[in-house]
Amino acid sequence: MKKKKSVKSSGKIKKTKSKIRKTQLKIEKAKSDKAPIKFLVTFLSGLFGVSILYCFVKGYSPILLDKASSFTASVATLFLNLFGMAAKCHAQSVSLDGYSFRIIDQCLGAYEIFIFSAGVIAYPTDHRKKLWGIALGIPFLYLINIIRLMVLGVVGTWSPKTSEFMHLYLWQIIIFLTVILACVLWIKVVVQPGKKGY
Amino acid sequence: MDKSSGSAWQKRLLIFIAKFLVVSLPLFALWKVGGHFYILSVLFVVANFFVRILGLRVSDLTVCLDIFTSLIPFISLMVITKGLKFKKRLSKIAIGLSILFLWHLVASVALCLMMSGYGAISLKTVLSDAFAFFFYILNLTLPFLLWFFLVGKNRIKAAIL
Repeated sequence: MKKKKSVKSSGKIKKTKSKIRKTQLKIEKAKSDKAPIKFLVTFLSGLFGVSILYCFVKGYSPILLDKASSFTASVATLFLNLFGMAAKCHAQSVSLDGYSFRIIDQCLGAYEIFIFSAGVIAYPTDHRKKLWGIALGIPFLYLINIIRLMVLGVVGTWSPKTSEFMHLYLWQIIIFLTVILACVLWIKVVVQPGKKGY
Repeated sequence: MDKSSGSAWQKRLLIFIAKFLVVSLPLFALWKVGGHFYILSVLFVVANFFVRILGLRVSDLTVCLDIFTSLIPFISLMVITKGLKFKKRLSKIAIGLSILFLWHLVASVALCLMMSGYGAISLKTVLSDAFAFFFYILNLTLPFLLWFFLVGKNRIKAAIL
């Protein structure tokens, strides 16, 4: 009689454990199904937040953007000279072998930085890794932007039309690729170092 | 971190970038040669139709329509993604292009209304300026977001992580 009781109770325990496990799996699946939506909502909110901040700065302190443009022009000129090009900088303009281009707010690498930062904030990981992502990502993206300006400048001395085409049509591709590159490097080096892809 | 997995993701990433460039550059060439004109013409006709039906008066509709173009990155991403059957790939591209087309229309008309100084949503306040900027920056990310949701994170991980 006692054996029967213990068999029954162990059977009940197994059923209960199985129910608990199924419920846990359901909760995990629900969380995982909601994860992309959560990422999207956080990402869009982050993008909107930086849009407000950026336009606030643009509207009330345009001199900050002018100074950023001048700084970017100086950095691009410095790098061009380091590579042996005779580049000159005047305020926000860079001139190189008869070709000159002006750095405006769209040339600061700000868009890539905003998109990347919103993506990092929305990604499900701890805050320390997010801070590292932003701290490392911003200079990386700024450097890529400087290289882009240098390439546009050099191509412009050879063919201004080609430089214009590259600037207008390839700009979106370049933003896209640089942000993907920065995100992947952050995930592999900071978020999941040593973890295999999938 | 073992060396084989370290070099594997770097190789996958480089291949992904190379494939993306190989597919998108000819598409951009097509865009420059005539695609730009034809697609914007269709968009203009449709946008103008809706603007007239709604009784709105907007200026610079063509300028606004030219801002929100993001077809090529999306098509390139969908073409280079592995593991999708031909019919499924085509259907997902069709879904994504429809969403992009609709987005293009809505964002262009909205920006036009803001630029035309249309009542309370005119581009005179920082908030409406922020909306316009948000639309623009969202337009840059929309190809990737659509790709992410249409293809699924597992295929994306397989492609670049």
